[in-house]
Amino acid sequence: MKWAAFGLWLAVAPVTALAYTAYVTNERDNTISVVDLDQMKTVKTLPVGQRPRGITMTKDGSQILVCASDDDTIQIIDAATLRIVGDLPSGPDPETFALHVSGNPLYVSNEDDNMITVIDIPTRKVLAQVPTGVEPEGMAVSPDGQTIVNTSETTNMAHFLDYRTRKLAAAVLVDARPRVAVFKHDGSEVWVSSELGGTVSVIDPVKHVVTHKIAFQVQGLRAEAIQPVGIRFTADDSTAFVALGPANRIAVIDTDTYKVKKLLLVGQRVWQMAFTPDQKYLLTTNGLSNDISVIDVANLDVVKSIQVGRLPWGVVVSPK
Amino acid sequence: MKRQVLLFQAGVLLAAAAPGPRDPDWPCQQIKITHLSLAAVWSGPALDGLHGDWREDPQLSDLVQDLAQRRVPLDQAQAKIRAFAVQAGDQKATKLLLALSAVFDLLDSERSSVIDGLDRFGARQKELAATLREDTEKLRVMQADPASDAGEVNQMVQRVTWEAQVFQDRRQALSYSCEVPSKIEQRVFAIARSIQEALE
Repeated sequence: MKWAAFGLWLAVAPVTALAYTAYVTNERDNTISVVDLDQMKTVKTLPVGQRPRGITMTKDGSQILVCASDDDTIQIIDAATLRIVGDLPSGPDPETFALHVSGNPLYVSNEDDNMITVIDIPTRKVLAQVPTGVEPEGMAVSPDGQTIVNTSETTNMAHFLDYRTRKLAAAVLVDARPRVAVFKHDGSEVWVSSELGGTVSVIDPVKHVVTHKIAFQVQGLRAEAIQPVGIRFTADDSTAFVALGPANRIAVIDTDTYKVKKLLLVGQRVWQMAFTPDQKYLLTTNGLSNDISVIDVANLDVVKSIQVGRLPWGVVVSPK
Repeated sequence: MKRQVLLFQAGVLLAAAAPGPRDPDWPCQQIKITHLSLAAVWSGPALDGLHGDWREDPQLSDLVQDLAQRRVPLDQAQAKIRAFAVQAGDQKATKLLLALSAVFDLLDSERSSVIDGLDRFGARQKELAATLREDTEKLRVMQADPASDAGEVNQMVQRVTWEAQVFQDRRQALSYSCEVPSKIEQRVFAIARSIQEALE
């Protein structure tokens, strides 16, 4: 009986393991594509607010949060019914946000008024507004929630803000047009991508210095086509993935040596990424080919591309 | 009042037309990339060192024409790749790589002409902006001078209005034209991907 049950488990496991749903914001269509990762296809398209970009989910997977940048709001979508059930007071022009590792609060970057708005998700109330550098762009929160990093396109800096005092602790110069900032899960490093500079700066968040700079080369491609944007670390922090924009490649980086160990051709103008919760797959949004690519993380190859709406920007995978 | 609004609009238009620092004549928001790179769309077998001329093979030539012509819808072009792959037999790999190489060159050259056209357009738009700026200034001077001839002032108002209108119309047409290089790039990528799939 026990063995029979085990056999059944084996037969069922691969199916249940894949039954995740991904949600993709389509910046030009003002929609979200709902992608069934079991069938590997878009199963539904939801109209949302104008110019949807940043997207995340609450930790319990019950709600999807979407920055509707041109509507100056963050919409809350019920993941079960796929209905818009409310909004969060995001402040003007929310482009992107970061969820605290515990699932609350939410830190929102407001490009227009040079602020970071901190929101308590359950009560939908603003906890704090923290002034930042000029035109905040990318955003990251340290695992302990005490340091907020935001990148500024105007000053080419990563600003380190102390959450408790709401004061600027340090500003670290990086290469031109910094975009995305991401902490390693262990909090030991912050990686910042520079879209025009074509590099990723690795920053020590305590000493506030750049410890390594990662450059990229794709044979046959001009340097200006290499525009790093999205960054993701595996759960064990051993491998990083960097999206290279119009180079249409994802760079796979060994985080011990800071060396690029593989380049994967995905879709056009690759922008942001998200892992499935089991870390089996990494999804990439490809803004120009209007699709997402599915990367097999263990084998480091692209196994599928799935059509979504126009100008896909962000992606999140349900933890369920 | 109306004239003030007009002057204000002209100012806004000119501000919006301010060129980027990289290439003074380039009129689009998109970063100007003069040529496509094969490496941006292809990570399969190398295309240099292929033998044969696609023009000498009638079927291959038909395929290349269909793939390179943007009026052939992409799904039809992709269906043609699949059909060609089946009938090409053991020549499949060589012929599809020749097709890819040819389509890439044709579409890249078409895209380059579009880029050149946009550059010329940008230069003309800049000239018009300079004229509009000068005429707007002249009008301001004329309006401030009590001795100005009312008929001449009126003529100048009409002229500035017309120039502003042309400027704006062109600017609206531009947003579509600036998308064309991307559209060509999308087609090249989609065709390369279909050829890659047909080779697997």
